[in-house]
Amino acid sequence: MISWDVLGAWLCAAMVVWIYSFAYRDNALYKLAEHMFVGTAAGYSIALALDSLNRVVVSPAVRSPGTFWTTSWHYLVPVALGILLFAKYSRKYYWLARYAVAVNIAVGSGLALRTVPIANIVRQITATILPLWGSDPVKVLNNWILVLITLGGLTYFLFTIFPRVAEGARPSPTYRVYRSLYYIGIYGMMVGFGALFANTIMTRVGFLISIYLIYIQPEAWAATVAAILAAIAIILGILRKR
Amino acid sequence: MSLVLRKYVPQTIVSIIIVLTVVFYYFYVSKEIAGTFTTADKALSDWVVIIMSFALIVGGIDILRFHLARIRREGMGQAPFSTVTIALLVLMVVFALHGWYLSYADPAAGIAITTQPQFRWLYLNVYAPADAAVYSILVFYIASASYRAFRVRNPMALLLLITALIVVFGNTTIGGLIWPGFLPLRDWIMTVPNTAAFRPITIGAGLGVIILGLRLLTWREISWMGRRE
Repeated sequence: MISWDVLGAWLCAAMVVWIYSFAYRDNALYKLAEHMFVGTAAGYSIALALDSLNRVVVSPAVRSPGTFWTTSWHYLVPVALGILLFAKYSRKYYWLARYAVAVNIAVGSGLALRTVPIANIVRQITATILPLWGSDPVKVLNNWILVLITLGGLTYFLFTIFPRVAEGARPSPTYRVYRSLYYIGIYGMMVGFGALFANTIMTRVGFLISIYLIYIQPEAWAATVAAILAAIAIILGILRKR
Repeated sequence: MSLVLRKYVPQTIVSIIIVLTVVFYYFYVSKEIAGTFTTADKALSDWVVIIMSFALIVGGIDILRFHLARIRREGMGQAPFSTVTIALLVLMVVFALHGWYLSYADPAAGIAITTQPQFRWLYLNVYAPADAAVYSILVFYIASASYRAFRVRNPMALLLLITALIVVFGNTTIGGLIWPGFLPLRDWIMTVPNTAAFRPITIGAGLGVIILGLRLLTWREISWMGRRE
């Protein structure tokens, strides 16, 4: 008799193999794994939502009704608004769902308007105001690079004012400064994007290796053979496509 | 009247909530008002959690409806796959509801919605491995994208390639074996040019959020309402 644990381990491994089979080409097993994933993910989201409702509303109302009805009765308002979300399925009363969306949008936007001006703008500007002269040449050079790339990036994203030079005319000093900052900004962002891209690659490869280690350990030789087989399969797939 | 209820009242709710959350955060009027604001602020955050929970349920129902429609539209080619999705979705919800029931009927058992045994079995053996595999399979697409991005066609692409190589070698042990300077160079790239490069983007995103808030406040942003009146 196969136990549920063993069946679970097989299903677990099968899910990984079926999903990885997409690296070769789309197939029925990948599609099956994909649909299983979507079904469980949707079910899991609903379960999390129920858990959240239980913790915030149902459990306090059932376990300590006295406290709930004196201090937390207003939670019935979002419950009513949440129920109104189902009105979106009605052709006639779809607009009722807007009341719940309105509260969510407004609170989200209000909270963002409280934190973003300080965190995204004021702190970024103050962090860029750096000493450009001093006794430590390395620090000074780093500060120059930081300030120039930041100003360059801001110049690159400046779409309102765009200095131009008339055909045949000599470029003005303003234009030259603008153009220099513009290119410093582009090159600076290329460095940033290169670093971002490298980190993304590292993260994905890290996930791949961790999956590989979880399902193919403890036999090291088995892992090596599996890796070689996978590489051969991928190369064969590419050659066949050509 | 109906247009007022359908359009203007929700927009007024948006404006009032934005004004109240922002004004009392930035301006201090009195201790009592500040105290009331803090209480109301926490209550509003809880309201959002409750409404979001209902939104997640609506999303699950949307997936169910979508797959039922696909079975009707596409027939036997799609039916087995969509049936699997629907069956697993329903099973997960049924197990979750059973766990919810048990948490009240038999609290001593310590079973809750997300700790119901069958629910956990599906989560651990279907959802968790599939989630990790789907995320990691992107490495193959990243490999193809890297090839396209790193083809040296101009000085900018060369800079992108050199930076990426330094960061990759700086992050791995083999990089340190090839040249010990990779690690400090990677650290310098991450602290100086990388920080500077993303600073304008952060400032731009901040300005975007402020503009979106102002557009919502002044009723210029109406895409959240869905259908047009």
